[in-house]
Amino acid sequence: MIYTEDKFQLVDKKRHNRYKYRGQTTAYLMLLPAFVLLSIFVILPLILAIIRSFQDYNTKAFVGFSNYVYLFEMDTLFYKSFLTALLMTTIISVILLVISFGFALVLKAMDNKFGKLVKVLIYVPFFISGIIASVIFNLIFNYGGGLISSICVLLDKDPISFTNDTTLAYISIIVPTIWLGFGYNTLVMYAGLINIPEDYYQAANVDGANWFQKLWFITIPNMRNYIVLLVINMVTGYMQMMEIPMMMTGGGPLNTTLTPVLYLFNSFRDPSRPDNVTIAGAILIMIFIMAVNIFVFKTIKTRRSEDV
Amino acid sequence: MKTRSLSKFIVPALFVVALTAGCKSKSKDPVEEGATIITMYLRNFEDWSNEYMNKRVKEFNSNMEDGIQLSVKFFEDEAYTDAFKVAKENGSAPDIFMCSYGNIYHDVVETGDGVPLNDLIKQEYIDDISDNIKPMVTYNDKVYGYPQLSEPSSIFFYRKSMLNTAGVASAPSTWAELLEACSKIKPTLKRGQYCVGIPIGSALSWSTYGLQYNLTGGLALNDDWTQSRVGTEEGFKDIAGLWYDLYGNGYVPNGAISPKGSYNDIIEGMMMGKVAMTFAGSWSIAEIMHTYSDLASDVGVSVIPTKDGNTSKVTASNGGWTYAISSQSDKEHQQKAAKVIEWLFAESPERTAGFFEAAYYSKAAVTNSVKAYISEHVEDNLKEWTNVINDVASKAIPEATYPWSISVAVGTIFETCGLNADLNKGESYKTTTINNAIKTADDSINAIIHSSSWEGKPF
Repeated sequence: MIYTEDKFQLVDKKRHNRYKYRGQTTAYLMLLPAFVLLSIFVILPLILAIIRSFQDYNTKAFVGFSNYVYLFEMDTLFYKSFLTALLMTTIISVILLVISFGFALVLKAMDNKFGKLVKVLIYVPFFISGIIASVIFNLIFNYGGGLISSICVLLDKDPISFTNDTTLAYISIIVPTIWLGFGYNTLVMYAGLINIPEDYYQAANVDGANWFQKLWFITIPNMRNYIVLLVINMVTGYMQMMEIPMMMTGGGPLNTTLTPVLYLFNSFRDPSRPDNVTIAGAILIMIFIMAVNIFVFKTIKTRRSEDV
Repeated sequence: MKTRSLSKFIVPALFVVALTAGCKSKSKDPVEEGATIITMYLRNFEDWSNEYMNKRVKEFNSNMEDGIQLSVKFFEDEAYTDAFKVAKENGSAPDIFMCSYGNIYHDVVETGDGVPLNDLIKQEYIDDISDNIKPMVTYNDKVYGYPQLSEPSSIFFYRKSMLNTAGVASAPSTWAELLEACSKIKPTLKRGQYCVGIPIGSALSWSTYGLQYNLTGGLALNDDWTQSRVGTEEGFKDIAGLWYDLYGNGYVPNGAISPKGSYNDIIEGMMMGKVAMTFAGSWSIAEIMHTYSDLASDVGVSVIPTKDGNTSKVTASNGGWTYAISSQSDKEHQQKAAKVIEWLFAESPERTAGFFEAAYYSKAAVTNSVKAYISEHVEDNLKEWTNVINDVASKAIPEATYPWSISVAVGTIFETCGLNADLNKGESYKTTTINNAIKTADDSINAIIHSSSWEGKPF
């Protein structure tokens, strides 16, 4: 007879072990397909990519860190593209968090058929790829015949060049990105909101708490895990943004909207660049995103729901 | 319950029907039994161009006695590189693949992806390649890509009616005339219309090679690739100054004027009346003839305006495509692939000229025999345009083979000067803007040279 360390429950040791290991073989067998697929499509390619990033592409000879050094020495664009992506990720994430949280609050209040319709409608853009979204927004932002420029011409004003202006180019990327992500973020926020027990609010009402106090002391703390999920998703996704900048601005003007992945895409297609430099760049992006995510995890610590 | 159990069968059945609907068997062309299959990767270009190639492939495959069956796959520009690299990594590179002139060294020679064609293609066909094209496909006396066409990247197009309305008698040949023409055209335009279309963004990097050479006698690097020429050659400042003036005066649109937004289809902007004149590649002629043929008589074509108006100098770079044979193919496949290339591009001037005819002679022929054939057969109404293109192409330089980031650095000079142009700030601001842009590019290029491992110009 023993006491387990954490719960101080009386457990028969033999019986405990029998239950503990009985399902192991089945569990491993069930995990096997996932493990095999992950190995083939994720782990092995990753290992091969890491090895290749230290090799010359043509001769396969090991060249140390020269592919990595090349990335930073050949031009400053790779380094700058990280700053661009970081800036855009920050702007987009903050805006998306705020508006999707606000809209989720509105959705929660709209507990009727119209609310259900809205939930479906706002989720629709999530099914649209970045390329299609860019085509749609090109019809709006296009300098030559886009909606906004056409209205400007009708009003006897000069057309606006969103994609060829160093500031407006950001808008032409941020707006479609937010449009695409808004539905998903709102619904996750909404799911979080409806999971908060009503008792908390009733107790707060009894204590005379106002709307802001309920938001600050009940809603937001209970949404912490959802916010962490969304932030991680957004940081991971937007740091790897490529389709929208490629389609809307091509990384310009003056490379102001060039993101790391778009840089690597261009690099991959540039025959004068060693291909393994592109692979080295991809490894660096992976490390950078992992580092940013660890930072986010550390900054916004998750808690189990019962600890909140 | 009954409805639910019925739906269990109907839904999957519909799914299967939907899936198989796309698999309807097509009547296949006859296949030569026992023939060697030669694979060929092609890039998707304009519809007419793809149709032409498909027609030729079908014609080739209709011969049931040559022992060769040609299998062609088309790829979009972005997908071509990926598809080729994946096939190569899998050891199944296509027997014949496309390569642009500027990339022959990097894509075929340096990577070892292609083999020399001298032992595979008949010498008479190698000798037939034009003198100005041969150096572009040759490395260490070996030809690595058989050329199909060349197309000057920069020709000047204008709408005669818009120039007439503004009282501009003829197409400008110098920059001074260009600016003067713009000053006359601008008051005649409506909101949203501009005087002249110019390349923007990354197109500035490659479409200005001709101008760079015209003004400086070279490109961004010195002959042995050990030094940037950007900081020392005044010509780069001159081009930057032109861009500054064009933007500063509001003569050029602030963004892309064509629906697709690239320099490749800038001509559409002019044909839609958004600009009166434009710099554009020679391929624009095909676009005009295929899509805007009713307006073709209103279009004039000339050499681009240069600083001194001397039309005998280089004004463009020659882009274009060649066909290489894979080093992964065995000897038999290589020999048969060479037969395909000979059949398509070398054997019969009449057959090869068919492509140029379909292109309305918007591209220049690259073999002497085809050039001779075309000069005898070109339609009279296209002669004026064809003469301009052949003239420009015959003097045009090859595209730069140095790293793309060097070309981008040069293009960024012009883009920076254009986007920061402000005539109200005076001449000193203009000088400072240009000098700063030149210095940034010069430093950047020298840093690239410093970090590179090349020893002298490789190609």
